[in-house]
Formats: sequence, C-alpha cells, structure tokens
Amino acid sequence: MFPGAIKNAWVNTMSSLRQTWQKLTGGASAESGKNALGERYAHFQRLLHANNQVLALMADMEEKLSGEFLFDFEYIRATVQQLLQETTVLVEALNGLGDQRYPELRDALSQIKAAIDDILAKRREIPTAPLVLFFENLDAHKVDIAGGKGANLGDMITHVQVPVPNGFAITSYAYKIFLDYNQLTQHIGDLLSSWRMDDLDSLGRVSEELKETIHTARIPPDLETALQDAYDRLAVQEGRRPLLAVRSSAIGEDVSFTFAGQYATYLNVPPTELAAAYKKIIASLFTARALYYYKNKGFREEEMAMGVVVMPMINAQASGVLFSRHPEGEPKDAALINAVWGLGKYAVAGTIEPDQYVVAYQPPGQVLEQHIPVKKVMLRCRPDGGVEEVPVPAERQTQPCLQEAHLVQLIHYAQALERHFGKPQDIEWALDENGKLWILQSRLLKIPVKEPARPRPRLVSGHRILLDQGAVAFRGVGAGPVVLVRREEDLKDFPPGGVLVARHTSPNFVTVMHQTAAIVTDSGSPTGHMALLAREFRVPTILNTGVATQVLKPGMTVTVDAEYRNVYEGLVPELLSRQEIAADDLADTPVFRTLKNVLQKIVPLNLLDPKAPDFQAAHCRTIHDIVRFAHEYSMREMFRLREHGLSGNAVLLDSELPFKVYMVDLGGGLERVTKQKAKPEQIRSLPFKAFWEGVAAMRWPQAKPQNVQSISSVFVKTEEQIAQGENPYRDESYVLLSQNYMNFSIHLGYHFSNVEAYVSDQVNDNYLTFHFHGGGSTPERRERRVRLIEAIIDRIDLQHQRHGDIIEARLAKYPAPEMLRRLTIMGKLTSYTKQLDMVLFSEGIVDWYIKDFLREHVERR
Amino acid sequence: MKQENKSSPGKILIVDDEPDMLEMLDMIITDKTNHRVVTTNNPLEVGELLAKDNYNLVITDLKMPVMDGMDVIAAVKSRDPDIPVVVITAFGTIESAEEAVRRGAYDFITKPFRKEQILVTIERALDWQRLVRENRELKRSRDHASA
Repeated sequence: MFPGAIKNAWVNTMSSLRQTWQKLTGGASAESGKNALGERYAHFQRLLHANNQVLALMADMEEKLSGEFLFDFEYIRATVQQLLQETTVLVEALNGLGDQRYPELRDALSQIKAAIDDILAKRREIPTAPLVLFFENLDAHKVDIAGGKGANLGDMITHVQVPVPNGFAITSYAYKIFLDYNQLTQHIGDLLSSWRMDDLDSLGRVSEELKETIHTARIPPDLETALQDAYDRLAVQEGRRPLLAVRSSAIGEDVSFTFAGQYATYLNVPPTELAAAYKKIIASLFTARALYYYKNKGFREEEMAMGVVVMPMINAQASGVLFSRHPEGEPKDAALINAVWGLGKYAVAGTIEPDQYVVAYQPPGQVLEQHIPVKKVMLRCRPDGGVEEVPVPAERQTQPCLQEAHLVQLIHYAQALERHFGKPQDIEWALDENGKLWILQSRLLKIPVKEPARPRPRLVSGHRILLDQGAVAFRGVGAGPVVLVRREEDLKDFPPGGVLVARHTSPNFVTVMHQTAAIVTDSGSPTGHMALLAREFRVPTILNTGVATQVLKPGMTVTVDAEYRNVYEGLVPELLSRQEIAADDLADTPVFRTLKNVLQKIVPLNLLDPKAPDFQAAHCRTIHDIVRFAHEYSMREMFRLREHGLSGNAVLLDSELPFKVYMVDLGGGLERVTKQKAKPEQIRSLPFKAFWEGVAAMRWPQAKPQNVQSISSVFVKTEEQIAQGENPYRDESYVLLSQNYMNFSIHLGYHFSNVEAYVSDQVNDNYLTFHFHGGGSTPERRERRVRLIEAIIDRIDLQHQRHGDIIEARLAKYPAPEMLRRLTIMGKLTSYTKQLDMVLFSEGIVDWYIKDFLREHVERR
Repeated sequence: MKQENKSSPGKILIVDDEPDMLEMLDMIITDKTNHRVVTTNNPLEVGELLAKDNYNLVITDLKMPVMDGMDVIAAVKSRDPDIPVVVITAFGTIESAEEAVRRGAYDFITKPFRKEQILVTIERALDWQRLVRENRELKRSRDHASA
C-alpha cells in the first residue's frame, strides 16, 4: 500500500522542509505560488467529486442488474455517457494535479470507451455458420444460429429421449446471405423512408409491398444447393421423399419476446416449393409492428435474423397440445392434453373444440378428467401438397382421439421434457398413421400465478438478532461461520462459505469473494470500491454497521439478511430456502445482457494492490481500474503538494503551546484573518481543528495545567531534553488547510511526521495518512518509540507499515465523526510521543505507556 | 353487476415502442400476478386492440413516434373513461408526466423503476377501476329506485 514512491516523496519532503519554508515565508512569488497550490487543490476537489460521481453511477448500474429493476437501453446509454464524462473529468483532474504525468490514463480510457461503444452499437449479431444444420447438430446454445425452435428441436434430439422427427434448420446466416444477395437491406431502408406510415393502412400497404419484393427475390445459388442437399439427405434418412413442414424459427421467438408476432408456418410443402415457402416465411417478418419499429429506429438485418425449420410432414391421424402443468394450477401433479383428429393446427388455433384430458403423473397416464366433444371437421394433408379441411367420418366424431396407452406415453414424454428444461412445457405432439407418437415442439409454458407474490416479513421471528443496522451493498441472504478479517494476511486462509466480517472495506476482499457467503463491515460505503465488487460477485453485503466486529464473534454461525440489514444468530432456514425460489427471470433479456456486458468493461477491478508493479495507468482495463488508480495517485500527488514551490501568505498559529505552526489556507481552512496570526478558534478546517484539539488536550510543559489524572499529565521538561538541544520555539511546523483537508508537516524536536487528512460528508473521499520518521536518540529508544506509535495507531484501525523507524499508515472511508475522532487521537499521540522521548528508558515502560494512552484516550470515549 | 373479488385477474394492454421494455413488463407481470397481458410496440394498433377486447388497464410509454402516450390516453378515454392509463416516462421528464395526468392518466411511473413499483401501481389502478364501476352501478340503481 505504501510503495517506494511515497517513501521517496516523504524523504524529499523532509529534506526540503527548510527550503520550502523559506519560500513560504518570503519572496515576491508568494501570491502566485499560493495560486498554483490553490489550483492543484481545485483539481483534487474536482477529482474527488468525479470519483464519487463515477462510483455512484457504477453502483446504480450494478443495482439495476440485481433483477429488482426494469430499465431500457436508453438508461444504459445515458448512464454510460455520464459515466464516461465523469471519468474524463477524473482523468484530466489527475493530470492537472500531477503535471500531466498520466497520459497513459487517457489512452486507457479511450480504449475502454471504444469497447463499450462496440457493445452498445451491436445489439445482436448473426454468427457465421453453415447455411443448413440438421437437428442432430443443434442444441439449446445455438439459438442465434438456428432460432429458438430449431435449437429447441435439436436439444430434444440430442439431449432428451423423446421421438422428434429429424429435420434441419435453415440458419440465420442463410437469412443474411439471402438479404445481402438481393440487397434487401438497402431496399427495405429506402421503402421505409419513402412512406410516411402514420396509420395502420399505410403500414399495411408497405407490408404488402415488401412481401412482394421478397417473393420476387432470388435464392442465392449457394443456399439453393444447400437446401437441395439437405432435402436429399433427409429423403435418404426417411427412406422416402417426404413432403415438408416448414416453420419459422425466429431468433428470440419461443425463447423470448419478439415484436413481430406470429410467424408463418407452411404444412405439407412439396420439396420443389421449399424455396418459395422459405421466402414467404422471411416475408412474414414484416408485420405492421415490425415496420413501425424499423420506420422509427432504422432497419438492421441482424435485428430480425431468422431461422427456419424444415421437418418431414407427419400425416397425423390425431394431433394436439400438451401442457405439462394444468394452467389453472389444479390438480397440481397433472398435465392437460388437447387433441383433435388430423393435423394439430385446429387444436392450436382453437378452430374446433378439442378433446381435453387431465392426466396424472402418478400413476402415470391416469385420466383424472376428460371431455370428448363432437369433432365434425379435421385438417389433413393432401397427397400432392397443402392441407385441406374434411369432415370427420361419422363413427369417429364422438370418439376420443387418444387411447390410454397414448396418454401414458405422452405423460412420460412430458415428464422427460420438464425434467430436461426444468420448467413446465407447452408441447405439440402428433400421432402418425402407424400409431407412433411424435413430439413436434416443446417450449416454456407460462402459467399465471394464482396470488400475487407477497414481500416477505422484515423480521423472521424465533431467531436472535445480532445486528440490525448498516447500509446494504448487495441484497440477498447468506449464512456461514464468521471469519474476522483484520489484515490482508487473514484472507489467505479464508474458508469457503465463510461470512467475512471486517472493520473496514477493502478491494482486496475480492480475492475471496467467490467463496464468501456474505460480508459485514463496521465502516464503508455502498458506492465504494469493495461494494462494487460485492455486487459483481453477488455477495450479500451489509456495510457501515458500526459494530459488526464487536458483536459477530469468529466461528459463530450467522445468517446475514442483506435485504433488511439483519444478522441472525445461527441458520435461518426460512430465509435461506427463499433464495432458491427467487429466479432471475429478466437476466436473459437483451437489455440485461447488454448492461451485463457493458459492466464487464466497467466494474471488474484488476488494479488491486498499489504496491504491485502492475499498478500502472497503462494497465487500467476497466473504469474501476481508472478510478482506483486516479484516486490512489491523487493522494500521492496531494502528499507531494509542498514540492511544487509551496508558498503563500503563511499565518502563524497563535497558541500558548510551545509548538510553532504556520498555516497556509487553500480555501475555507481559516476564518478570515487580517493579521499574520490566527488563534486556534479561528481554524475552520475540519481535520485540522480536530487534530489540534488533540494536540492541545495534552499537558504541555509550559501550558496551563489541565485536569488529566494520569501519568501522561505529569510531564516535565527533563535535563536530558535540554541537554539534547531541544528548543521548541525553534522548530517550525506548517500545515496546508482547506475546509476539508489538511496536510500537516510536523517538526517537533527530533520528530518528523506528516498527517494528511480529507474529511467530508462523502465517506468515499475520507482518508487519513500518517507518516512518522523519528530522528535522534539511541536505536533502542527509537525502536521503542516506533513500537509505541504502531501499537496505538493499530488500535484506532490505521493500516500501517514500517520500514526501519519510518511508519506509514493510512485509514480511509470512515464517516466524518469517526475520522475526526481518530484525528484528535492522532493529535494527542503527537504530543504524547513528543514528550515521552526522554522517558522511554525500558521496554516495560513502553508497554505501560501504550496501555496508559489507550486507556486514557482511545478506550474512554 | 357481478361482484369481483380483489385478486380477480385483469386484462392489461401495454404499449411501448421498445420491444425490450414490453418483454420485460410482460415477463414480470405474468410472473408475479394473475393478470393477462397483451403487448404492442405499435401505438397505431391501440384503437383496434381496444375494439377487439375489454381491457382493465392500459400501460403506455409516453414518448413514442407518430402516436405518443398522450394520444394513447385520448384513444383509451374516448373508448372507455373507466379504463385507467398508467404512463411510463423517462427520468427527467416529470413535466410531461404531470401533463399526462392532467389529461386523464391515472398515474405515472419513471424509468428505471423497481419491479415492485409497477406491480403496486397496477393493483392500485385496477382497484380504482373496480371502485369507479361499482360506484357508477350504485348510482344507477339508486337513480333507478328513485325514478
């Protein structure tokens, strides 16, 4: 976390302290120097603002993906645009702050932007594929190629033991070839723009004209050959030259929604008319609804990509539809079967009243209910092609179309299909002349629910609540043993299924998120880096609970309800079982898929560790990387602020303490001062005010006695101190201030330290860095001093590192009151260590002082 | 008049020029309620669809080419003023949403919205229609009695 760069900066800072100070206190360039500082600080503020905007937008987009929301493409486009704008501001602000040192960040951003634009421009793609594919080469994953129906038939043939006639799909790629060969895209575009189409009649006329155009278009020779070959193969398979059923298989149809409505189906088509049937099906795409859409949004061939399935025509003696669950919901374990004589079209279209059988699964095929109406007509195949309506022979009109054996068989098929597809099915079947049952289609059966879904109660009774506060970062429920993560090392042995409990959030938690049941933290913001990652990994997460690490003990099993911000002791089965039911039904829609793809370029975080060598601008692959990089480096740049010809109208802090502090106000840090001095009461800078309170609360050798009853209140200036040449009034410290910021370089005796902090209402902006470099004294004493400081800052949650007797520490993303409390403690610690130097004569006394300080100033709140 | 119970299924027509939005609305309403849904991306069809079937509720996007949500409100209201119309608007177009309510829309909902939000709005709108019809029926029978 604190790479060499900072350390170097730190050393530079220290060595240039005097030099800087000279600039500060004199010279004609004072005013311009202050302006330059002010400008940099303004960049920093812009960066922080943009950082928050970007994080909030990312959080908003991720939230939309939760399945709780409905949104459209416009939302994605508008939000992405805003996101890219803010990220540009962020990148420019860092470059402004850092003397244009980060040009690679601009390159990274434009690459990401290009990738996102690509995703948004392309809503659907027609994959290059063979023109024709037999069902046996298809499965559910080939929807884009064969259309929903084709992919589904292929899936049944290859994965389910049900009899499906083996046919072939004319692929979406064939459709593209057909359109391109006849330059239809251009033609359709022209036609759409030349008509007004502001009423249904004109839409109808254009629709007719387009159908005519497509009808006269030519089948490309490649496709013609492919169709011929496919038919020949089919004939060999069948051992005859069958007539054909030709049905549309639109991309989207049967799988999800399509605006084009019902597409055409042609039955009993002679092979010589296959190409014509194909064209008619393509033409059927151009319904009034489709034309309205294309008229207003522009026609793109990929949006209407179309597959067609071709099957040997089954000259059915009876046909019908099977709903694998009764749509009325009762009885629960039964299917509903409709049947008509002849071809199934009359059952589907409701032309005649069909037989109805309610059939049980257990025992399989048992008829629970049946209704056999008089069926006077039927549709049948004509020998030379086409279909015709004929009267049903008198003796069969009142007969049931299906026998018990058929019902048993159908119920087995229904069971197999339900099992395979995992959901209730709407199945078309046919009984051929030889008495064999065939499955012609199976698709999702939509059953309306009886009762609207009710939200579950906020609290589940009968379980002890351990925690009921915080901010939800990702909704959901997770349970497992509590694993307390205090430092990065604790992540190494994180058990699968553990509930991660920590004081603060850290992007490093991402390394275990794939196996984390839930996350609960004391601090942090739902728009922070880690929250974004928790959503990406869909880990139920509650942040900013304040007390999680105190009430959740390592090893105890808890159930985290990140819906209502509750943590229960033990397992809560009521909550955990609900999880499985809540299926994400929107996840498959194009809008969701697009947002998901876009977010892949935005949210994942590759730049995890600022210490790592690949933590570089050029390695930013997502917006999140850029944000993280920019934020990290903005802090580094702010830390280096003094190197940039620091100057200005320095004001002396007029206190009674033997501590000489000069202040440079970057804006809002001090009450308007006219003299070259300001009283502590005139400090407006939130962090510095808090820090100084801490400094002043300690007893100083020459300050007025205060009512502090502890060993730390009885410091006196020792002989030794004086002997070592300490003269408090000769040491000069200085601080850059703004309302929310301080950058305090402290030079007290032989202590050099720097405390930098940003404190505002934006939790994400807040941070505190502390650098300590103890000079002077013996190695033992230096060691003791460093040990004391480390022990104390550890207790107030700073993450710290040590190189020799340099300490680097940081804390981020705590709410303002928490930040200020710690700053006050840091102020106290500064005074404390300053004055302890001379008394750290043994290891034992160090422990005593650590305890004393913690008791007096940390634990007693 | 037949007393309908509260959870009785309604028939909902949804009009939005974005097929994706239609798909998602159809999906969640079918998934979470017992209401029947008919959708069209072509507002020009609304008159025809209303003539063909009885609807309890129309949900329409506000911003559509050729015939916008305001026109849909007018078409619905001229056919049957008791059919509530819920308008869906894009974020930041609150003024036109309010205008829609002045022109007779029952309520509006701003994109993006929570699933729960549209489901609650639908139930309220259907309840409203039931009340209006019951009220009218009562008045009629009262007038009839006093006549």
